[in-house]
Amino acid sequence: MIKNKKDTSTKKSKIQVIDLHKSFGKNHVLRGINFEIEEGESLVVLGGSGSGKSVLLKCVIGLLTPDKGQILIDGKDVLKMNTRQRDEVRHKFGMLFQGAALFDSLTVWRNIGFELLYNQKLPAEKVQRIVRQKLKAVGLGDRVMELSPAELSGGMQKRVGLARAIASNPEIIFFDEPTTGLDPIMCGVIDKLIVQSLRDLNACGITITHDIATARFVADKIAMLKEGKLVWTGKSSDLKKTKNSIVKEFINGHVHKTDNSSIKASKASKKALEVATKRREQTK
Amino acid sequence: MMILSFLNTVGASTIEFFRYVGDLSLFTFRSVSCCFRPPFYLRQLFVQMYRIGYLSLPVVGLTAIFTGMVLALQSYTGFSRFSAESAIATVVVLSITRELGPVLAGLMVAGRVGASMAAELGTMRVTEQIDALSTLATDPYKYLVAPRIVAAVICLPLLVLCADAIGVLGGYIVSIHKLGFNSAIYIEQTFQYLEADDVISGLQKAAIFGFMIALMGCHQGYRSRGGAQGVGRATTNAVVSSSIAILVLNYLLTSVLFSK
Ligand SMILES: Nc1ncnc2c1ncn2[C@@H]1O[C@H](COP(=O)(O)OP(=O)(O)OP(=O)(O)O)[C@@H](O)[C@H]1O
Ligand SMILES: [Mg+2]
Repeated sequence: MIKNKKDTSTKKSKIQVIDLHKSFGKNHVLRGINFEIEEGESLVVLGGSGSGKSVLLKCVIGLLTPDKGQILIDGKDVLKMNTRQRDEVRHKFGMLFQGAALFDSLTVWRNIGFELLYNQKLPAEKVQRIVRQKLKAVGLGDRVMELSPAELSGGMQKRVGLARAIASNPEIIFFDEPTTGLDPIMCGVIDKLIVQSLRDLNACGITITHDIATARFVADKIAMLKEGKLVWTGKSSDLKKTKNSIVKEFINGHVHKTDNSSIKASKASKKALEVATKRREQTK
Repeated sequence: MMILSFLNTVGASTIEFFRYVGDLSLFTFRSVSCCFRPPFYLRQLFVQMYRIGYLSLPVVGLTAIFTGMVLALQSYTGFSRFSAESAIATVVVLSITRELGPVLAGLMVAGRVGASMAAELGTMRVTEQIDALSTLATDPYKYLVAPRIVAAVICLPLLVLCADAIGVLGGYIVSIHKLGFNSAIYIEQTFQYLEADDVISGLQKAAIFGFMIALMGCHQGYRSRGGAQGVGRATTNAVVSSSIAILVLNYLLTSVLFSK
């Protein structure tokens, strides 16, 4: 609140999470999470597999009920709301699930237009027009409209999931591992799509990823989840400079194994290629 | 040591049982209240009515016709011993409308529809499709559970009505062509002692069985976890628990409500 008074430069707090706890039986997954996201801001949550990233998102969006803590959306505590108020808040959210979670009893266009079709009761032609737009935005053609989700590849399913998440113009969008299991080119495409859709809708977002490249590209702010707490939070540009050992380990683990080595490898292969072509020319 | 571990097991399964009952009650309450509160998903309702009602018709009809036929044969064997053949038509029609129609149709539908509901909702649960529904501001109880329950409650009585007719027809065919009854007399005897209440009580039972089938199927599916194995378990549990519920409720309803 005090912060808001200081810089009245239109930025308002959209999501605020205070001391969030969640456990499953003896498995204490979240142990006091605190963060804040302003309007139009993009947060990336990094963390190892099983560290509770998906659980965190599901708590914020209301699929899981936390044991303790507060979740403020536009300054109002979601956990104290009645069902109707909570439904209203739900309309502000869009989410891309880790496994896309498309409805396999419906065609692709009904999936994407689900909320428009069944909740806002728009006529089918209008929905189809919007769906075409959204499909175009995620780089898919009209061809897939009438297919069933089972007929799509994994990457296409992710993109349809993305289109569904943004179809009703949400104010808050969550992306749970949008690029896991995709080829590097598709990763790049999805990264761009995320940034673009957040910008187009002027929405704020939380993206979960293991992938440092995605994190750098998408994030305004980055947080590192470990053992149920956010052990480090900072700007995207601070990520390299940080002295925090946990973050360094996470990044360097990645950089050494993928980025650096692949750069080295590509340099080496370039040289090899040059040598090979020279030889070939000589033999001619 | 053995006693301790025995007590441990008994205690654990008792707790498990009460947890199940409590959870089922909550689920029932929420589902039923969602059947009466908008928004209503009519498209879903019609799809479910088609699947539960229309697609179950062959199975139910087949069961009914053979039951009616065998009923006529068996009662002939018994009744001819004290020359009471004229009672056969009445026995067939009363057994079918009051008892066998609802119970057999219920059990067949439990196997067919209850299992598929549990499998479908279970798969939707483990692939996070049910979570996705919530994030699209749609109440899964209203979109998934309520249409299934309403459709089953509407369709089962209709199915049983068909089963009654087909079952009586089965008895007629056997009596006329195999046992040598006179057609006009058999038909007259069929309706002579039949009262509207006999049919209606059967249809009431059917509506309750339909409710149980859909409820058990949806509950097991909705609560399933643990991947494909969990879905398999949910399917089995749905069929077993709704079949048992049908048999137990059938006795209770007959002895309390319809024993006039
Ligand atoms: N519904 C649930 N019931 C019981 N335990 C759960 C449930 N959901 C998650 N967990 C547990 O919570 C922990 C965190 O799970 P979560 O799915 O959030 O991991 P994650 O950080 O998203 O991992 P990944 O990167 O592999 O997706 C895990 O130990 C998991 O076993
Ligand atoms: Mg996850």
